[in-house]
Amino acid sequence: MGVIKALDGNAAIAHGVMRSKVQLVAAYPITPQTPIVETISSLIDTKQYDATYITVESEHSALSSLIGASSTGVRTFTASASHGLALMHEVTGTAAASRLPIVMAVVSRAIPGPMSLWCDHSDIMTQRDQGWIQLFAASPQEALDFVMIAYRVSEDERVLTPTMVDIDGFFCSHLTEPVDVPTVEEAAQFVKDFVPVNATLDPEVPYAMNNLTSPAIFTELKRSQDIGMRSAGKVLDERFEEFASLFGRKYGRVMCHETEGADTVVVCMGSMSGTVKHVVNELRAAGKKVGVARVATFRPFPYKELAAALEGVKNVAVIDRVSGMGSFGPLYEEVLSTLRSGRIDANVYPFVAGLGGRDIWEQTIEDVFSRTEALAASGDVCDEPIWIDLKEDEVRYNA
Amino acid sequence: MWEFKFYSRGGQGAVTAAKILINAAIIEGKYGQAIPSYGQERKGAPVYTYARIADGPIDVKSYVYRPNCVVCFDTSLAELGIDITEGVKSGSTLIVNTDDADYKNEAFEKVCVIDADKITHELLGEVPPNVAMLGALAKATGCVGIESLKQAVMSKIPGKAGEKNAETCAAAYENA
Repeated sequence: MGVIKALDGNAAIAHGVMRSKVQLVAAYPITPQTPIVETISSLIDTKQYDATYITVESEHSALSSLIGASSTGVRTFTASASHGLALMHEVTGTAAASRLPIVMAVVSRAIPGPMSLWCDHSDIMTQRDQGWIQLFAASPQEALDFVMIAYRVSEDERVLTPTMVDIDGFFCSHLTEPVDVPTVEEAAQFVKDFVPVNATLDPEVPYAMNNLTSPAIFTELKRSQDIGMRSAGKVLDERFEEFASLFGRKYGRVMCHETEGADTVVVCMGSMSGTVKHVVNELRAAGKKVGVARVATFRPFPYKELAAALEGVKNVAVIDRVSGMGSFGPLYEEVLSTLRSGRIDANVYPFVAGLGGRDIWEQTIEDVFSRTEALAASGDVCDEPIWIDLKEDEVRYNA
Repeated sequence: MWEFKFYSRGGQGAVTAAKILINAAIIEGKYGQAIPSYGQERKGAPVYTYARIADGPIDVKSYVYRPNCVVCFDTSLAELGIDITEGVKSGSTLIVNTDDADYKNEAFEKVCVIDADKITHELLGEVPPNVAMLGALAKATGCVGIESLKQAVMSKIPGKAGEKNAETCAAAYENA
């Protein structure tokens, strides 16, 4: 057992970074991520944590600094959100293609516009195909644990792929709960020293890295990267297992609650998952056969594991915290792929909720379950997402 | 499970109070959760903060819409049309900061009146009334003990200032 502290998601991330013995941090503050970098710089300043902190002038520079530093063979971290993550976009692909095991916390906040400070997943979803592992933590404890696990997975020679650890802005980043912080000795049983697998930069032996790649080899490099990303699934399972044996907290790529024998299952990600679990318990007590399958690793996507969880389920309700404008939300599309590739014949319904900081509370989830029940009874098919928490009379259009 | 909604204005220290409260619960081996709702912060603007205390892990990660305990730092919020009885469960408790000893509110089963501004002013000076409100909250609900609450206050505010804040908290506990 570590030390139980009252920490919010941001402080938990900072403690996870310190316990992971990260050697270099470069970041630019942005709401709601700012307390992460404030906490880290203050831990370094007060000599509780020995690391280098680089003050940069933008998020683009923050990640570029890490690409340089990680290439020399040191463990690195940054954090961002929303506009900041958008400004990093150009270099997130470079970090991944350079096979650098950088870890970044993304504190999800809506991408403008309209201008917003508050939570949804439109920021991290812009990074969906940039080649980063994406973990969605649902609580401050998971935020800390996932940072530690992320380094072990990213640095594994079978993977060599950077990781984003996502927490929901405010609903996790500013939510204070008891967090079990491993002691230095306990953490050291799990976190090892960083030993770079690939060649590292050395001023004595200069060479260029990540330069112009001809069509003769580009495809093969992308496929190599894809194999690394796909291998992360197995490595995540191994590390979740090892983490549980040391710390007693068991995670999985898909975390299920009451899916066994359920007629209707909600699939979701992030901080709403606990609220769904709570509502599932209440509905189960009222005799409803419902459950929740929470996706914790969006990339690589756990198709087989989710298919196993949804086997025999009649109705699947997917809640995306992003609009999927003109199409469907990204999680819904992954669930469709899962059902198809797993040969599962279930009704599947797309819900959109919690945009720009709108809270997803018990009633939102109760609505999802009752709408799903009604849709299944009617036999209707959804050709566009259901905006479950919409104020209809505030919507303006000239269609 | 205790589910709290704090009504206050920017600068009254309710966000910090909720964190101290759940730290006291954690000291007692309970589970706690504090979640502020952030807007464009400015002094004097209405601020809502939420907290939960339970014996086991708390799954829900949303604001509190059906509180069984309301903590009102400022009765003048009613002038802005803010209704502190919104969503309250039957049998709820209200802790209210007011100098009106005859304050009544029939939406609550139990009303705990505390002049937290006066107690704070006398013992600490011109600072937020938040630790005094916590003392009254502990007395009215018994959700945490005064000793763990004082410990949580002192861990948030170190040194001599922390001790004086803990004394203020205890004085409110006695007077509530």
